[in-house]
Amino acid sequence: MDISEEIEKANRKAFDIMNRGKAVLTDFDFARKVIPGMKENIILHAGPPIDYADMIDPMKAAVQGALMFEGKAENLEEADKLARSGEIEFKPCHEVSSVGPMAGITTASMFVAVVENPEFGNRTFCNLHEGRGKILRFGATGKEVLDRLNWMNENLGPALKEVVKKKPVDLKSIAAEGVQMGDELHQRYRASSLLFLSSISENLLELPNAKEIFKFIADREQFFLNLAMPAMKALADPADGIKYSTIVTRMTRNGVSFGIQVSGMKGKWFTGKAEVPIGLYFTGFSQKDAAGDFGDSAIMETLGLGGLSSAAAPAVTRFVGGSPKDAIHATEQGYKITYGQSKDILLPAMDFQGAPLGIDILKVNETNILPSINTGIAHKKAGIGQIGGGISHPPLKAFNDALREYAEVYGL
Amino acid sequence: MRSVVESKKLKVFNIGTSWFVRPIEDQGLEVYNIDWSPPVKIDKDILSILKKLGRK
Repeated sequence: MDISEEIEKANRKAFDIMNRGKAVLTDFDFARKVIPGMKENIILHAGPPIDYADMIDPMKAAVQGALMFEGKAENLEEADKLARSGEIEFKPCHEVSSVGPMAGITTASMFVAVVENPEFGNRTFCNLHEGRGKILRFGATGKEVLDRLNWMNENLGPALKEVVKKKPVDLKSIAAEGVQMGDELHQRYRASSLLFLSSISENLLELPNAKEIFKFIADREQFFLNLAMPAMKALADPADGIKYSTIVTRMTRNGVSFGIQVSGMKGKWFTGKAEVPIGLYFTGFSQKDAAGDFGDSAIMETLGLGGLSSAAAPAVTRFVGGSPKDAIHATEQGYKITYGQSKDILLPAMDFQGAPLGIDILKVNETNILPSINTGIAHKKAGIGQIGGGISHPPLKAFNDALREYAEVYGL
Repeated sequence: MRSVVESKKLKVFNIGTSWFVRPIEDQGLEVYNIDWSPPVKIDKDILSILKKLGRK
């Protein structure tokens, strides 16, 4: 077989694995109990590797808030000192089968969702959804933020654990149905969040604190975000490490750099500068206020959702700027850089074609088409939170560097 | 809205972005879309790798 045939065979395999996998929510537990290698002195963050000193302000602040949540610091100054001391080890979520939206900060005592892919036997993890406004993932650290995190740990997590232990939830099916109902599953999760709530309601309503749990989830239109992300990671991870494959298995950003990984070069990050998203800003804010793009949520586009499935969610175009035609165009562009189409996630506006699946670095390099990523926009200063929504793209450099390295690795 | 295309006998060839196809189709006309875009500028070394793979 020549190398082109090897690549085709490997990419077919990676694509089939991503397509065939399932994602089932089976548990909630403390990060230290379920995430492989998680320890008290480890802090997980979104994006490719980055030192604390180099993090953008909202991510630094989220680290400080998390250290206060863990009881390791009394205030932000103490937390900052501890974070710089060398006693804390910072790791990308992705490197321990995890994902986290925006700052992605996850510590040992936080409750996380556990998602299983029974087809391939792997598990993935994600922290719980706080909502919008002043929240840790955007770098807010006040009393209300820490109080909410404690309430989530003491009430929401244990309640959800009890509920999904009784009846695991098929997250891929909810994602597929959500897309039929107008979600593209990065910016808009309205339908899928309600579908999730509906799927757990029978067992949830038996709990003594059902009303407050129900209200917490129902009030958060993006609640499904923190479940869809580990679901997509559960589908992506088994496709990693296939010799010769040029399919992208990870796309993520930390506010400074955007990193990708490619199946045939397992574990290697290829990075470039993270863009400031272009989009619509809330009143009083503009692009000059925005932080560089951050969060592991580009795992949604890695599996063909979000920006690549924009055609599913015409309502989102009004939020991120553009028109429904732009949304269809983004999905058409997605088809040009992917191996094939999802067999389960179908897009009504594209005559029920499957979502574009399996981003191929060869196709990106030969077309210079970059996957479109629908994203929230955070203020560059910590604690202000979300200031808009928009679209960003990975840097072409990351795809160029990946292909150069591929040529080295495979002797081209 | 008055149709910008008066004759129903027109056949339209659209070259490039498919955005323009649907509005014409919506007016009941036959459209042939030719998927074309300007040549992409690719770094020499990237082009060389793609050529080795028979892709350019």
